[in-house]
Amino acid sequence: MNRPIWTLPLSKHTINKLDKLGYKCCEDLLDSLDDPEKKSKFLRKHMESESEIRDMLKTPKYKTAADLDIERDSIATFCKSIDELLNGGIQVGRITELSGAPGSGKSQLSMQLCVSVQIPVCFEGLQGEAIYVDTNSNFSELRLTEMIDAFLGHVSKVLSGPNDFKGAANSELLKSLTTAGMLSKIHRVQMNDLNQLHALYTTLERHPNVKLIVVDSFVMPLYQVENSLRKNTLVHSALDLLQTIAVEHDLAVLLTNDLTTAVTESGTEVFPALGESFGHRVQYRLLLSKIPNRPNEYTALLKKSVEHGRSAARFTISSDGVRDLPIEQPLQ
Amino acid sequence: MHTPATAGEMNLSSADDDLDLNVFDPYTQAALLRGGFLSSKNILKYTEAEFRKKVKLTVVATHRVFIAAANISASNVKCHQEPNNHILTTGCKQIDKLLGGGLFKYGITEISGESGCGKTQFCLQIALTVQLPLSLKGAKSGAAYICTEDRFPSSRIQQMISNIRFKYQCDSKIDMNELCQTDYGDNILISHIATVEDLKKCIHEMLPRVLLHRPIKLIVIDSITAVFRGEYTPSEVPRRSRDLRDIAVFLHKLSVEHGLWIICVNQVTSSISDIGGNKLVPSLGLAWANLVTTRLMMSKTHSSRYIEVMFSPHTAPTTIPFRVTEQGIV
Repeated sequence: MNRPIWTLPLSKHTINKLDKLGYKCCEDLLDSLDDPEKKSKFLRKHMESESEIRDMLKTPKYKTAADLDIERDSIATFCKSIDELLNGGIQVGRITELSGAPGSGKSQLSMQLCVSVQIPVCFEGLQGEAIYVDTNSNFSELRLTEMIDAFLGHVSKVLSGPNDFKGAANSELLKSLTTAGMLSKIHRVQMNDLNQLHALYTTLERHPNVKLIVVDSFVMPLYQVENSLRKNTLVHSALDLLQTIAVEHDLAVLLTNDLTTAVTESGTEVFPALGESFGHRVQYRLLLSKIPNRPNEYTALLKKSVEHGRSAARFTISSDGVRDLPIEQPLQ
Repeated sequence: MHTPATAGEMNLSSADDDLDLNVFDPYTQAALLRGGFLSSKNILKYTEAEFRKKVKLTVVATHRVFIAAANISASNVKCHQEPNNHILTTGCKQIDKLLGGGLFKYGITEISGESGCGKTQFCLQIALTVQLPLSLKGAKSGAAYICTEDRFPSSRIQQMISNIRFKYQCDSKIDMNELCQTDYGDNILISHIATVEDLKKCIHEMLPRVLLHRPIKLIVIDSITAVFRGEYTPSEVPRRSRDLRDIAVFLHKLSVEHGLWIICVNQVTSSISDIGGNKLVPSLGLAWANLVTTRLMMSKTHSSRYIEVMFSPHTAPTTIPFRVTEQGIV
């Protein structure tokens, strides 16, 4: 089975040149790379370096379904009902979309996840860092500090309890967790263009322990784009990039999306923005909304997921962060 | 597609935006030079795949160029802000507490409510508090006030100015001097506007220029609704959304680039909800609401006035009462 040369991601010019030199398939290329005499001659003629060409010719790796199941990781929120909805939390290696009207808790849930991604390994957390791509100035250090303080309070309560946690010595663990320390593990990046997401590669190099990337909001940079075709290209190239990063670096991606009004035959309806083609590209879609006439009660409706059908969860946002509704509340 | 470069963009010297060609291999350098792609702005106009075809580079090389360009472009977004997240007082301790300390820089704060419930009073007061010294949680800078509904209430602001010295006591003498010597009236620029076109002109042309020459940190638009209510027929709703969005996005951009507070006043519309009964909601619909960072709502009963946080990334939704006095809002 020979792969023809023209299937490689090379420029037309290079391919023509190779063709003239007598290379017809990838195996020819590999042979000449392995032969030192031919190699020097070959490389002189081309702009690609040896490692680049070797990269192109490498066989992709594969994994078995069982491997994947062992590796499956998720970032738990502090709200059980949302975790159940998402099969344990926001899935690592996937893109999750949060949509909802303004004030429905998208940014709050995003910030909560920036805190909960840092749960130490001994509590079965990921002990990772987070990147918060802020496009609409919704990032609030004040809120994060509140959430972190609540988290630290919870940790010290658990540690003083009867349960013994293996791993780190308790006191040492507590010392390593401080508000300032946790805040410094949330890297805020401001952007105003989706193409700037390429800068994430550099940020990731600097902070290899990042397990969560939040883009809040994904649509804000697109409001400046008038041409809808152009908008689509931008959206999809950004999603390509995020999906690649998510798989390569084994991290979860969380996007927030606004609602827009669409006029249909039966009147007007509200939909998440960016249309149908966007929906295909994200693996989990959550629609958040505020329950009218109930202070501080919210619902999360799961619109798309591989594991569950359409279902919903209720949650509340307290000063501590995103939490379950108090149990006394009769749940329908 | 090409919007005229604003004063802010022109100020950004071309060197800030230029790629460092030395990090690339000679072939890439030549290709970039040939195509004239020397600034990150030029490159990021395209997506990665488009760019690759245009410049005829390899996948890996394009990728490298894009990462470099994005890094430059993203760091330019950041360089216009001061490190500390500054909080501006509203001049009322209770309202500050409600907002999580005060008004937060960056983004748009919207204040809506029925007519006569204190929205303008609130804005006037903030136009003064922004001039307070830093020790009093002010910003020691001026304000731009865009009126679309009414003449600017200059007699009321004079009254508030004459009271401001009694309202604040400073610990240090220097601050006290500053407090007394500031020419409050002189630091508020006022512009009267009646149409959407004028508003666009004002925001796109005038504000960037003014921001270069004057130390302005606050922009008030009182109100954003007035110009948008009359001018459009029902069939023009999409155009209205687009105009609104254009203005909101530009305000956002200004606020991030220059580190500004932006306050927009909105009117209310009654909406008939499913559960029955009329409810007052802020006007202008979703297109506008999506772009608001913090939404405040004022309401009035016979005896008292209330201010409510409807949503804010910084605090939880709550309501508290307030009063309007000679000194302002307390």
